[in-house]
Amino acid sequence: MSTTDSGLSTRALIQPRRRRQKEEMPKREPGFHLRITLPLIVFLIITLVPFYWMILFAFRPEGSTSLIPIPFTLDNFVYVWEVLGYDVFFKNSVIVAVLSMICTTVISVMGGYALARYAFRGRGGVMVMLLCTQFIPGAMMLIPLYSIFNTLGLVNNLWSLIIANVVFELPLTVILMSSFISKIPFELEEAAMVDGCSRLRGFLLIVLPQMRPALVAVGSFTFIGAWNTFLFALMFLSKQELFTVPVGLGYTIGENSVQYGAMAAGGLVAAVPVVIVFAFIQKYLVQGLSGAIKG
Amino acid sequence: MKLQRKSLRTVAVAATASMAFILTGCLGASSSTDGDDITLEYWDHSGNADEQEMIRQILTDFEDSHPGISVDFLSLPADSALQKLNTAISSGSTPDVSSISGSMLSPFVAQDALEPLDERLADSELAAGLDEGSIEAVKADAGGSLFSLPFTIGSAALWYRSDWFEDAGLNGIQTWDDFYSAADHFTDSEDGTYGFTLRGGSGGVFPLLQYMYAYSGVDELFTDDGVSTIDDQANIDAVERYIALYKTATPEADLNNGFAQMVEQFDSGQVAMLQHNLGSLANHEAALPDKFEAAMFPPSVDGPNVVLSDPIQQYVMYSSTDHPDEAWELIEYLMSAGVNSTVNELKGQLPVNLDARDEPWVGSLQALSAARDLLASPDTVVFAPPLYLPEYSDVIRNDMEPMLQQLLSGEISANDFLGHLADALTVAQSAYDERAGGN
Repeated sequence: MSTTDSGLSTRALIQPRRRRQKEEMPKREPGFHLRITLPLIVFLIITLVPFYWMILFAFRPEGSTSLIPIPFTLDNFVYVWEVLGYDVFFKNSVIVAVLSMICTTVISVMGGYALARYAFRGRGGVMVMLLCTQFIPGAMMLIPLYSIFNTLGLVNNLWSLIIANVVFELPLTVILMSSFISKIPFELEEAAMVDGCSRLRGFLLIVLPQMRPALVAVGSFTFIGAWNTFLFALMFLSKQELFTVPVGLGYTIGENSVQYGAMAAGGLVAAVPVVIVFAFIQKYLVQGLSGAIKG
Repeated sequence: MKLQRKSLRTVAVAATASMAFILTGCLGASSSTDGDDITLEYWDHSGNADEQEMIRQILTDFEDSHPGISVDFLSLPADSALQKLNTAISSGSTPDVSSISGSMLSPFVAQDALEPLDERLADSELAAGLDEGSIEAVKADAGGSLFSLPFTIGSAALWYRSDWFEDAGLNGIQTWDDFYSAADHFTDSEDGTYGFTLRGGSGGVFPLLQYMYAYSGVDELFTDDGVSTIDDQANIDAVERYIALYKTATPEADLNNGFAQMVEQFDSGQVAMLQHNLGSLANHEAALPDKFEAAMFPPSVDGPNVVLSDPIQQYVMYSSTDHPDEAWELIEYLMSAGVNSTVNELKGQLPVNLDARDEPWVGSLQALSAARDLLASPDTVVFAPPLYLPEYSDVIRNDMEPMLQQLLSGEISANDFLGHLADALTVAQSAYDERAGGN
């Protein structure tokens, strides 16, 4: 074997290029498509058809019976935004959803850490009580909550919605956070404290970064729950300029008629933020919900 | 480390202060400053987006003509208005005045939520200018006392394609036989067109009852003994003839029809006739300009015109109001001829104020002038559904609506259907009489 000036062997130079081998598809057992693929396709169609219906009605003119949105129009969106007042409803929904998300996430992290790391008397009872609150439907609490907010001067104030959303989301999110934090080895925090960190600093530097999936899961579900809140928004607010998108959607249903185009356009406006949130956080969702940690 | 701890503390204090600042009212609605001015709250239950601008203008005009009184307006979505008002009553946060639908009156009266209006109306100039039949109907719904003022009347109508009738050489719907022969004539199931459309889904029982009494001529809901007339043989015959139209002169899908589907079927040219109240006039005008007309129900087979009236929309004053005199001024203003005319012109329904009924726009609308003439006729018998019975709405919605679909499917007979309803209403009426007698 001779070598070239660059030191490469001739054999290396003349080695034929290996063809990349096609990855072979795994062989499916007979009936796989019938058992799995076909039902999935049916489920997909059932899930997507209502969404397509909404898009169809939102973008086609009133009275059109076409199965595709042609002629294409934005009149319904203009109507809901300018006539029904969706610009105000949307702004209120964003405020309520974002603040609910921030408050719930912060408090649930603190509460979850306490439940996961501290062994205090009544800890088990607290967990059970948190779970028991899930049995109470929100509608049952309407009157007492209204009285409380009335006393606090929070009726006709978006904070009544935010507080109500936080209160109802906290039990489950605290338990979720507690479960997630308990899977993070305490030794990591101990190591940080040995290096001179306080408990809080250790939590912020060591534990919190590893909780990203849980934070995203809790934050997203809280955002979506607060975004879709209808009953509290209707009952605690008596000023039209404070209503949120779900309440605003109700204005498309009149006493004697339903404005399907406006309703579909309003529904799309309500759905788009939720879809965007899910699109960005979907990879964190499974991790967060299963309590898995990286590495 | 000390610096970082201090900055963390500073952040925490600043965050707490910010929350307190925001909590105290940054995200609240601006409150009105009173001084000597009075602020009334008016809630509209219908949630019609197209009417909101009109109502705001009316209230602005009221404020201009009543210095010292301002009105905060809230339009409630139609399908959640009852829930909102009930919660407001339970929590003591009702408005001063609101509009309500007919089915809300009785439960609100039962909760002592409304201010009686008998004396106020008796002393008012309005008294002689309002439709007496409507006033008596709402008094009957409230157990004999006046707790509301009706402001609009919807009437059941048979909407029909006047262009199709003209092409076929038919002269409208003068008798019930005309109706049935037209339903048969215009049905071509291969072509996908039908003579009529039935409301088999939500809200379908009441229109059936309206047709039934109009056809049979039975002119009272209960006999003097408190027995329901619903299962009278004449009514059974009427219903049997009506349901025979299903699938022979109507689409099969009518089994699940709500009002929106029915109106859509008529407006899209799928059916020749539709039974619905005047509330859908605007829809038909938009979809079928100059191609439709409304016929009031023909005279019954016995002769007289019998009208089971639609639930009536009304204005009420809540007993929790701090300003009853001013709230009454608002109601009087809303019931005045000019305002009542404006409201009903937009709704496409008949005003309760008699002077408003003489406005040119009423006569120019064929459907409304037909309704006005029918109600004004001395041969017309009008009675209201028994909304004063607490069980009525539950029985209709929870029992009879599923049974209506069974009736249309042929699983039960008209005798069974009407018998069940008659028994339920007879029992309810008996309990009501007992309570009234005990009080």
